[in-house]
Amino acid sequence: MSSSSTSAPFLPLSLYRVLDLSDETGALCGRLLGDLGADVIKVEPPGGDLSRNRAPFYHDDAHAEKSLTWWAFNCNKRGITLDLATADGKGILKRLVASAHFLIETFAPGHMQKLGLGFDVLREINPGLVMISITPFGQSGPYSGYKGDDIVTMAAGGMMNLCGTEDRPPLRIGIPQSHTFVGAQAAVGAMLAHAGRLASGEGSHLDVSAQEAVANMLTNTQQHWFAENQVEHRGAKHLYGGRMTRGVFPAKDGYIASHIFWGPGPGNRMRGLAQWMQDKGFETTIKNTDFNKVTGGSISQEQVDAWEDEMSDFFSRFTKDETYREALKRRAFLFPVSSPKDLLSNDQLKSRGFFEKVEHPELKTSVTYPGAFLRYPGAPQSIRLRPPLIGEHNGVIYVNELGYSRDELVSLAEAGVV
Amino acid sequence: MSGVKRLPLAGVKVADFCWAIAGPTTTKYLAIYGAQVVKIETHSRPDSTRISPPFAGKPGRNSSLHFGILAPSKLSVSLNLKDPRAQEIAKRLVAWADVVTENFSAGQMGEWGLDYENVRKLNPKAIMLSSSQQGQTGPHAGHPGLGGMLQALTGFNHFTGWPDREPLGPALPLPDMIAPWFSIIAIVAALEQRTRTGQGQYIDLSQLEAGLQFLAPGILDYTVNGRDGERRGNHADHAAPHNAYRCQGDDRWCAISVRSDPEWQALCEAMGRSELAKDARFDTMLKRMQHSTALDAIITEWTKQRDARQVMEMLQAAGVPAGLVATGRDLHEDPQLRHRKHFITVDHARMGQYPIDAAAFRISGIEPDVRPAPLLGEHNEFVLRELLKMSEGEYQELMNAGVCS
Repeated sequence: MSSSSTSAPFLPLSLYRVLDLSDETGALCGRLLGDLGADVIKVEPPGGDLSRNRAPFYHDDAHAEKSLTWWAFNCNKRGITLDLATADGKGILKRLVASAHFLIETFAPGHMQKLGLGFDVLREINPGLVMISITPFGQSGPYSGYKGDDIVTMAAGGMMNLCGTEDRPPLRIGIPQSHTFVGAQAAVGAMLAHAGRLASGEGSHLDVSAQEAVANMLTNTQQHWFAENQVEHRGAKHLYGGRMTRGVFPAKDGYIASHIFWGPGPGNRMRGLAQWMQDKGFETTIKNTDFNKVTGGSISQEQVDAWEDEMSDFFSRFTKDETYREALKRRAFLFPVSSPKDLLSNDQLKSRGFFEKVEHPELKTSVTYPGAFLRYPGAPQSIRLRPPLIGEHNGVIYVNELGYSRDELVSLAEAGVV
Repeated sequence: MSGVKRLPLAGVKVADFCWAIAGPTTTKYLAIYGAQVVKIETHSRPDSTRISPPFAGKPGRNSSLHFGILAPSKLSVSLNLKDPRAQEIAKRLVAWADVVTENFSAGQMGEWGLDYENVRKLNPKAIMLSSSQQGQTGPHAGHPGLGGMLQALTGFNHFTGWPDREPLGPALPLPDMIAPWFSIIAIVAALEQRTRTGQGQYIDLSQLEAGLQFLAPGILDYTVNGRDGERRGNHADHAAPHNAYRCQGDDRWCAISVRSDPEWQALCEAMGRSELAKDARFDTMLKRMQHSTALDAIITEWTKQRDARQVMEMLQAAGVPAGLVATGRDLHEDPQLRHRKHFITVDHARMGQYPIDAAAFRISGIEPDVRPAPLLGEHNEFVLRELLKMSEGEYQELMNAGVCS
């Protein structure tokens, strides 16, 4: 059933087909199923998915074929165009559903039913279909009709409350994350539903909420309220052991992430840094302190601040790279605050072959992408397909695979269906 | 909808060596969706979340709510792994299992003779997940660190913060909360693949590489355009106003995003400021972008006199994207999360009733099986006698010898 053009038998989902009708809020879900080998067909409206307008763009050329955000989450997919509002478009989608195993959609709740393409209709065509519906707040309930945007769901899911400085508004993460959080969790649900289908033969409908996906990233902030009626707040300094740490320290060319550790066990984590300070002849009280014997109750915030002043003074003498190299040698608990440039030259990522060159023949260039989250033995690289152009596979899929004639495809194009 | 189906992972057996956050979050979802997860623990070095706050009642190994939400529906066996007989039991569990999971620093499992090479000898069909900060191979494998710091290495902090201030990230171990989704997907995929190939699989999950999936647009902006990322506060290219706005009360906020002329007009109407919609400073998206600081001040004048949830509900009713900046308390009181039954209450022998967060998805016809987290060693007898089929005599001998203490 999977298309010969993308078949990769050594990949776990190579027998399965995904119809991906999603915008930016669901693109990662389809991408992950594609990374596992599924034949993912991105189904876009004629003219292309509106989320193709998201910055940044290739060479800053704001063009629907050149959105880097769209590229990032639409590798390992083929692409067709289809107007679901037309009778022909609905008919074609139903034919595609008959041979599909997953369908991902991100329309407002009720939209698919209005089109006559709700789960009840589609499961009649294909009882094994796993349909994944992703929305900001869910398919039903008092907020189900509410509009989402990354900043809205990052707020309502509770993450912005934990990000920022006390003297300024709560912050979102600079690259939209509610879409990736919900996309990845939707893929988890899809795989669980798929496992259920293998046992029962029956498909299912998933109702996935971005707000809830954000809330599920918070570790235990909900439990702090439940147990202690304590509301956590953002701060430039992260809470640690009842004391505050500044978390990042300026280096010559950027920042280092670290903090003071204390108590039996964690106190050992200071040894690498203390030894490095000593080797450099740096005047410090850190090297004379046995942090294993320090307990949270026995030190003041002033003491923590004084140690961190010493760390700050020390780190400011080195570059990020120099500091990380010493930390690796000495097993010191710190990391650089990486920029993309740092990541591209990171020896660990290089050694694991993480970044992959992907040909974009239409631009006569190749582009370096982050590889997929796993690399399977047998696969030359994890990105098999660069993101599709708008309607790139209309011919292959409509004519070669669904059996429409070239003349019919021309008519469908002229009628604005594809 | 048809009746409730069998849980999707029913019959899947997991020998779970995970600890802290990233590993246990993975096996949490395997457990509540039907797998039989045996958590292998020790008394001498309890799982760090067993002894981390918040606690329900007196702090102890069986009263951490953090552990409580990470270990629902799991079985706990306590093994003193310094004792060779305990190591033998661990090996028998590996032989019993379909899936073996661990998230120690690279190398630790080898010390117990339980690295993948040995696991494969004990159980050729086993699927093994090793989730670590930077993967099992490479020059930095095994470098120690915490999730909150790995977030910086991954690049989240570089893109987050105010342009005139140092980088920030959410006060969370974000990579610990990202890796599990990728781990679960890989495990379930491997289980299915095994039914066709008969082969086990080793999954070497790097939390750094998993986290980078989420930052891919920023990486491409560098590899394609040479732009090395920046911090832009709450600024966005697609919307203005686009920020969190101060509301009535102590540190209360509501996020608002206006992406089109109709949404701008709706916001002005909702604020009772219809004249603003005609104000020439703000009547196009480009002008709103240009005057976003002035806009933020105007909007704050309105929001600061109102309750944050009221601002959200009023604006959304008018068609403007808005979301209150929810605290832990707000999440418990959120009418939408209540509607979705996001918090599932369980009754624990020591902690009493406590809430466990549901997944972000509801699968039609499938109700997850959410039971309280186990006490340390609660299922020693069940695991040894029922799952490993030990005789009463063998079991008693091991208990008397302190193998489970």
